[in-house]
Amino acid sequence: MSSDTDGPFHLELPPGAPMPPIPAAEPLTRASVSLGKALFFDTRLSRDGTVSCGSCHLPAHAFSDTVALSTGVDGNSGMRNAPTLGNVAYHPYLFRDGGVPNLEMQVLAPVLDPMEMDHTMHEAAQRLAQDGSYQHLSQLAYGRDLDPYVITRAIAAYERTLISGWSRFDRFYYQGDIGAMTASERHGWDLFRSDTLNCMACHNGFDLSDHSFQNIGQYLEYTDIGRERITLDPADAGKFKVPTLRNIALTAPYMHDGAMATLGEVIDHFASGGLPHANRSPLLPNFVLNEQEKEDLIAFLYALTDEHSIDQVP
Amino acid sequence: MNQEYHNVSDYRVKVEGLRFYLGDVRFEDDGYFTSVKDVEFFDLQHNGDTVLWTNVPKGNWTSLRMGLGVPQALNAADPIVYPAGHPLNLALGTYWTWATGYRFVMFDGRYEVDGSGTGPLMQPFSMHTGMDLCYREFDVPLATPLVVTGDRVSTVVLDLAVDRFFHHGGEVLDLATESQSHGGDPTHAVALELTDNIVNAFGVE
Repeated sequence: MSSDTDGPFHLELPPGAPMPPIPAAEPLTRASVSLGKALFFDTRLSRDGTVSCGSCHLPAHAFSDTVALSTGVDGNSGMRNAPTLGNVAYHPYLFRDGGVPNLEMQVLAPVLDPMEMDHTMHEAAQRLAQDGSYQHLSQLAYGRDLDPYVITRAIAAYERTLISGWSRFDRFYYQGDIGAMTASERHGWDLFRSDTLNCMACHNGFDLSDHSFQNIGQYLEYTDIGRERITLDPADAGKFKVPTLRNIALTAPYMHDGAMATLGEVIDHFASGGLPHANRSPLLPNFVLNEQEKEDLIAFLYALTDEHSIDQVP
Repeated sequence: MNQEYHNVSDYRVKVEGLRFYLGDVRFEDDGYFTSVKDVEFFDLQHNGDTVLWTNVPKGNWTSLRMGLGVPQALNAADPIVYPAGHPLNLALGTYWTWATGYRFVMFDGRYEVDGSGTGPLMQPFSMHTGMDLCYREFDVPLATPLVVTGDRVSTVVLDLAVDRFFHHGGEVLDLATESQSHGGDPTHAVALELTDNIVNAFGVE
């Protein structure tokens, strides 16, 4: 007799989506992703039991937050805007500065960060291990009691299932359904992929991001130095990982610090070419859009919204 | 530890915490090296710390070679795999999650620049080094060879002169302007200066 926690987890991929890299040592199983989902939304991961991963990565907003900087325990503010977790399985490195190499190690950061969950893995695991259902799933998934190792593996497994690719744009582009997008949205797509706007220099591929690090001239002097914090190379000052544009209509505010509230502001910024920071990306052209073109471009970006939840774990 | 003294700048200084890693510890005899430990953690909150190595081969060892910090491969590994009691276990609170690496040295305390003052020390200093750039290999010659015979415990007492953390080669680490380091500073200036000072503060009793 099987249950919904037996056997491998069959990842549902949208048309056009490549299989994301799944570490051989971390296969997706129904038990691991179920456990990971439960842990993801469990506030007992935080010191005072008030904050879960899902507190800042809201499912209704493609697993991003609605504020510039999310609130951790004791009302503390995080350092950067919480990004969407859609398609995080495809990311070759995590965080906007790329400082963490895989999802398993990424899980440690919010739990240990004094501004987020302010806990220790050991104490969090001890608390969660009191829950019999967790022990059952942990044994099923990993053959061991719930501990810090299991927590990192299970949450990473769940996060790898958050595949975004169910938008009207996907039906239009990958399935040839011309009617899936309106004329305005199609015109926006034409603008988006034009050499004039050059958006696709970075926002390309299935995830609409090449995951490169770019300085977009948001500031002349960056309080948050971005990629430079990791590489210690001044040529990386102000560079941040190019974000996906999937579900971009749901993930405001925008930029690494959430400084831009609307897509209109973002487009205006890119149209200006950005401020002349020494590391400003050479891929940023100045361009001019009339009001209709700007509306069409925004309409296209709205068409990148998934038509149903990207959470496929029951 | 926790005792006020005057440093090279004549500042009143009190060290409240000193924890650090030593990596890739080897004994040397006439150009031959034997590895005894990949990484070791020291917490000097009680003015000293002791480790026991049972794998030092018999011989007359004349020098110690080690790195201040965590060797690169260990530093990049997933820290979740290290069990309780291991020097790299997360419970020690030495891991920088954002940089996926360990703090190598955690040097914390308080100071006042007025050397003639008598009030409480209010100014905090907190210098934490880390990232591969701060890993520094160095040698400590043993004044008399360490004789390992296999039938008794041989002892090496490493001396760490904390007053030398603030100066080396005529250069002074001035707490008035260099009191904080927590990674992320691309020049790593304070961390690198402290690293060089500490490496030169090691000796043997």
